[in-house]
Amino acid sequence: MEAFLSIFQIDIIIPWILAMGLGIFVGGIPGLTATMAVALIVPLTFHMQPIAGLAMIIGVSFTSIFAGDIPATFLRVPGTPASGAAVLDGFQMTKQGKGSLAVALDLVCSAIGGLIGILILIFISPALANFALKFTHFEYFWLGILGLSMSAIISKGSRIKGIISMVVGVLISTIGIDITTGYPRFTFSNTELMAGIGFIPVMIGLFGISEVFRSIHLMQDLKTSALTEEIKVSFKSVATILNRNKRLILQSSVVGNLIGALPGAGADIAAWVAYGVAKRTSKNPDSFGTGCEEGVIAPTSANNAALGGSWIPALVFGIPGDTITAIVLGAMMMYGLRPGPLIFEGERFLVNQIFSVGLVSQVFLVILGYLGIKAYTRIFQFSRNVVLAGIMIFSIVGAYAMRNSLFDVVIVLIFGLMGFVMEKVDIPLPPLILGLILGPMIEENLRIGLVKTSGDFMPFLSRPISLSLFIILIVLFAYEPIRDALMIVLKKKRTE
Amino acid sequence: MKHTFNQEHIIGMFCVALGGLVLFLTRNFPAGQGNVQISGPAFFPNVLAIVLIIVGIFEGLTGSIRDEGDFASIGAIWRGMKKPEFINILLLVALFLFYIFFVELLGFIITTFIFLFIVMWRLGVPLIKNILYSAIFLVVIFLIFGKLFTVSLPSGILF
Repeated sequence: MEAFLSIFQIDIIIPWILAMGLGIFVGGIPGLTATMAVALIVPLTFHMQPIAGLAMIIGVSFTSIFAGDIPATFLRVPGTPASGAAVLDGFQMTKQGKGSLAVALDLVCSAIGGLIGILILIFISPALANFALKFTHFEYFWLGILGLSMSAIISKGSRIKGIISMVVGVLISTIGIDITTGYPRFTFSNTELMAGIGFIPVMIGLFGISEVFRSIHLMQDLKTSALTEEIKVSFKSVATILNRNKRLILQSSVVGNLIGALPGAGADIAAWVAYGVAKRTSKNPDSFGTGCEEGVIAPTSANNAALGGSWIPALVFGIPGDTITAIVLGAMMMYGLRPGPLIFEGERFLVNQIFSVGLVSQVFLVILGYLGIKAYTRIFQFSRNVVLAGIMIFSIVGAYAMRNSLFDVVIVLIFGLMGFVMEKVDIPLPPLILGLILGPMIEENLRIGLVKTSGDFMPFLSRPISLSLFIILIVLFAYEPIRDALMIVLKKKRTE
Repeated sequence: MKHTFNQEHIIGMFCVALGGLVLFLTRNFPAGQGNVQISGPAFFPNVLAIVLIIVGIFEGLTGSIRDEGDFASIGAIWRGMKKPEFINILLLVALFLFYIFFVELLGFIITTFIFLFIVMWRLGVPLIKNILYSAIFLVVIFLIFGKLFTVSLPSGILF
């Protein structure tokens, strides 16, 4: 309690809220990620007391992840990588004139997801961190495959086209220097290709620029407002929806948190997997991708819950769960702190302060997120032709800013055209993104695992956790056909 | 003349061609540790290429079963691109290329302004508003990326 009350000091609260405001601003701009927002904040925190600096970092990460969902919902342009999955149903709801509801739902689910993530961090972090540390190459391989299997679930329409999109995504991830051997693959002696194809320019191109191409191709409503409906955030209608989706919020937050706790798997993967699991467990899986509330709830709860998860290995073992906590660990060392098991003994008060900041940040997130929605709504209410021009230039400069490379702008253009054509021939875009994110994780763990076992695949199936993951995979795919077969048998018996 | 391909056929052929290209490009990749292929750089892309060829053949067969012998969807893209829209798409691609090739020569400020001005002109934004919005976008982007995030924006020969 003392630790909780101690965070309400002017010299902590003011920089904390300012940082969270910056997160809203940064997260909503395509190309500027939550990691960049945190990296920008860190140098400002060195002259502050550690908890003030950590409050700024924790706060900015929550708001920037949420803010990425705002342009994803209204314009189909994900502000951050973690908002990729939020595009699917959020934008469809906006097209149906329910953008207000989508973004309000998004805001509340982000806060609840964040809250659940922090609560899990508080209560079961040591046990979870121990579990995460048992993951070796064999388990990570199955985890990656499990993630990829989501692409079959999240795809609308033809499963084969979903698989094609996913395999192409994984193939694209093999471009560049092979991490295991250092051999350049498919680089054609181009130095830019050696570093591989960046995930952010691909996502900006596939979702953002392809939408610009589509709008310009249709040439409809260019002089009307980009956001035609009046945005009125009604927390009352959100409460009704949340009430009937309690289980889904909890499920998505737990899935997001677990994935966030695994080193190397961040909020982006968490959102996609939670979306896939939600579709798999939904009573109306066909409504996913058409603008259903469940499709908004699942990824937005999961991406913020993943942030709490990523702190588990960081705080307990000093191992970063994602790029944000990697920066945090560096900052903590600069403050003279030593993240790891001993921090719970020597710095127990600070740890409790960190937990308190995580909890209170969710309240600030709702307030600042609401103001952020209002601010972005005003920007998006400019006429469509002006907003389209804005999306293009922000996409170009955002892609360039990642590595100061014009090559990334070329990638945006190529994938913009590719996304436009893929949608025209009904090939889903999300599996390609999933393949690109998970490809390196699967390849690296498969190859290192096989080298360790001299080519023997059995250890991938004989270890308890890897076998469990494999069984989950089989159940995910076999569940539907077995259920359908059982239903047919039962029907036949009844008619007899 | 009756067309004999449909959308699935074309996607299937693309997959088989891409898979074949990957197998062709990886033929000279070195073997892995102890001359074992599984640890070599070609192993994973080859597995993916084979999967792509298999699903490509499957997609092509799906097209044959469906038996809609025309360019149903691919043709629809081109038919749907009525003249002004088609020019707009081409212009957009050309503007992207202009930006990529000229930003280091002309600098961020001039190139961005020209890019925005032409895009908004083509999309029908009135002249005065066009100039105003182009300038506002330019200043906002310069302040966010150039000043706040200290991204080194291309300066060019003039600025």
